[in-house]
Amino acid sequence: MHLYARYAREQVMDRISIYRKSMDLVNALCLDRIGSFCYLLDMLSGGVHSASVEEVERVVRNLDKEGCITEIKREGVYEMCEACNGIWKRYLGLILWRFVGTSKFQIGQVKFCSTCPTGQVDLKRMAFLQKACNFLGPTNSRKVLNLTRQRLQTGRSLLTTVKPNNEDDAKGKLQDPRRGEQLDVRPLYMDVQATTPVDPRVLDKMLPYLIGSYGNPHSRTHAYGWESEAAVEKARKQVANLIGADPREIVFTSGATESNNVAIKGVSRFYKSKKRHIITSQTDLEKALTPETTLVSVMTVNNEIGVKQPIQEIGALCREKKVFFHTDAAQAVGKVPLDVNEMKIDLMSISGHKLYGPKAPRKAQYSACEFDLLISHGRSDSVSRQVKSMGSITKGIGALYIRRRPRVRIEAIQSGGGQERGMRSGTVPTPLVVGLGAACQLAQHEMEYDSKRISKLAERLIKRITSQVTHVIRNGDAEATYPGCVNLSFAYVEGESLLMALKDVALSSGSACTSASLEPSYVLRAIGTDEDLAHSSIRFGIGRFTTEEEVDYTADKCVLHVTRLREMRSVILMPYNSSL
Amino acid sequence: MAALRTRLCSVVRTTNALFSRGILQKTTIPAITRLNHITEGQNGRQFSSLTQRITVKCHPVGVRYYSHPPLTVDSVRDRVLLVLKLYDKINPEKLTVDSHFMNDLGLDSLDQVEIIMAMEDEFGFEIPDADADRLMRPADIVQYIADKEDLAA
Amino acid sequence: MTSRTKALSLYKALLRESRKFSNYNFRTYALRRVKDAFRENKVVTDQSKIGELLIFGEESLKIIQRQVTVGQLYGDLPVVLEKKIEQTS
Repeated sequence: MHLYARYAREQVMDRISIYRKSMDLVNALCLDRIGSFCYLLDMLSGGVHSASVEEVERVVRNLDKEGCITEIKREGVYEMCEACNGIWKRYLGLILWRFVGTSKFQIGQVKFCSTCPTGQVDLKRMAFLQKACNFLGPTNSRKVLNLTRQRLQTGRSLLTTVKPNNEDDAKGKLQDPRRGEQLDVRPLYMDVQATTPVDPRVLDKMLPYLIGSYGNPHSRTHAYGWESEAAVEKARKQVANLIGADPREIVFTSGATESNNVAIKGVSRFYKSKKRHIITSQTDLEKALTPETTLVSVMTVNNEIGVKQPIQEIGALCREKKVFFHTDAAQAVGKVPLDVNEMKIDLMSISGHKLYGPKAPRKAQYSACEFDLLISHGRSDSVSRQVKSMGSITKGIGALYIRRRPRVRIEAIQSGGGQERGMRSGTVPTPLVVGLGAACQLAQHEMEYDSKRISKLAERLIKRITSQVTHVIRNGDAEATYPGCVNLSFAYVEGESLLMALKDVALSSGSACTSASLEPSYVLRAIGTDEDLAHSSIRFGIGRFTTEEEVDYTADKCVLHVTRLREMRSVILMPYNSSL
Repeated sequence: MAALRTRLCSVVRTTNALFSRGILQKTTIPAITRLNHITEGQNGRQFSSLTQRITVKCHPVGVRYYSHPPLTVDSVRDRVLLVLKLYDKINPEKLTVDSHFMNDLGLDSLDQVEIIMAMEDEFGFEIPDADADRLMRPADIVQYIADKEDLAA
Repeated sequence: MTSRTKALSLYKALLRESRKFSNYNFRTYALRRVKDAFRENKVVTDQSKIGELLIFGEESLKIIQRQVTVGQLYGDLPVVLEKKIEQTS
């Protein structure tokens, strides 16, 4: 070991000075590729600079013979390389032990990307690296450490000077993982059913509560708490006004999913001794209702095809039969006029981020849209999985409306300090709640203007597309659909390929919650769409901030790619007669 | 003066050093060319050797503009009419130099505000509200701009 | 200053501030909304209502000014359409 130490000391310093003078980028890349301790390894083994995976392995094996390394792991794991966004086809984990003397340190791991020369160093403990460098002496080790740190940090910029890249690093780089390329423009956002941008007016109302007024609304003894509580109550009133409810009937939750959980599970658990039946689909509701039914749960506006359910009729029927009526209004609140008293709704779920309000960064596995289907089909295992995933804190905001007259009793799901009248314990997040309240107030104010505009834009989109391509079907009822959700099926075109081709536009082919699976949407299957057409459906979402230019651009690109894909298909599979 | 010279020397030294290390980003180059201009303007000859060294390292400076090219009344009139033609609420066929915005072209005060804003963007100077109220025809606008820019009639 | 002149100068200020939004969607929305709101409220004659609307307008101006600054602090990539406009112009 001491031989190596002396050898290393001289060689390392020579190398450093050479690299500094020549600004040899290739060698600098090598440093990055290998990482700090492998640089030393490099030196120790006698200067193998162009370390490909095989070469490093060879070096490592040689060192292994000398007893420097006690473990080599090699796994084939597919991961994304952060520098080039390529897929790492090889992962060589060098877990270095016993690097110096008799002390055993795990210094870290090195991963190699086979598509680009950059390696990623996972330095678990830089301190140990420092110790490892100690044999070089204090000044030298500091130089080596600084150099390697610098190389690691500037490695990416050195890499990019090789390929000239003029973008300012301050601007975030968007990555397209499907193609491994970096985008320098943002696509047009046409997916408002998934989530909406936060309205600047909402953000403006939230910011003071994230800066100076940061009190807990449940603190009763000082001004921070009082001002926070006042803000929360004001927001509660704003939410209540939007749906025609009383502020005492609003409970703030972490999103529509939690609201659904509380509503459905809470009600059914409370009444489980007497009534055990829940209905979630609404075909032939009258026949389905039994004396054992506790709850009917229906989505107000479907998020995939935008169809509006006949809430008023269902509400009247449920009130007559004394059954509780819950509706998930996440997509409908603020867009369609809703009144809980007129429509005889007993429980309603509201989601903040569908309403130009603050965001929910984490989405549960199954969202509210699938919930009703799961329950009605008896998929209790999925429901229980959902429960487990709900156990951790979800950051987002939503509300649940619970009627007081006639009173709806709920057993609390989340227990704790008894906040929100015991229905949902946990500190109410003031900035998010203020944001939700502001979003609701804004929605009430802007509902008419927005809905007029959105219907006009939706018509424009549909007309522009259908006038240029044939065999386009709009999924969902033509009249009873929310205009902002346009779901079109293009015959003879595969939905995924169309989405990949439309890379300038952010679209989706169905609900975001089911996009991970390869099956076509259950909603489309339920309305009786053909298997082929269900696969080729695209959902266009039009919202408050969509402009005419965006709609025109989307329509034109869509037409272009649909025609192109159909031509291709006619060449490969069967002749597509465009004159049909 | 000496202080300025020493400061300039240190700037040159650091820029040289930064260039050699390849760390100097493109964004700092405009700052250096600006500095170049200032020193040239103030005392050309004394600092010429230093400024020359700076200019060598920077991107080559092309033609320098200190103000816009000279305007004539005709060019002003053409530009005004062009901007108005591009405004979507105006029918380009009805537009003449003397047509009144409200009476002939059927616009209202809000549209007139938008037109004045477009003129401000086109000619690059602000028109105060008190003056803007009186400009009701393209001819008035042309006259106003001509007065402001001291053009021969 | 009559309410008419006040309204017109407020209109100009709002349009000028809205143009500074760095986000394409917010910018187009703000411009469009301001123009439509002023056009819609053009016919209002009740003085107290006019006063209320002017106050609302001034508050909106302050909101836009703040949000323009916030948006510019966290700069972002241009949207596809803006790049196309740049390329063709």
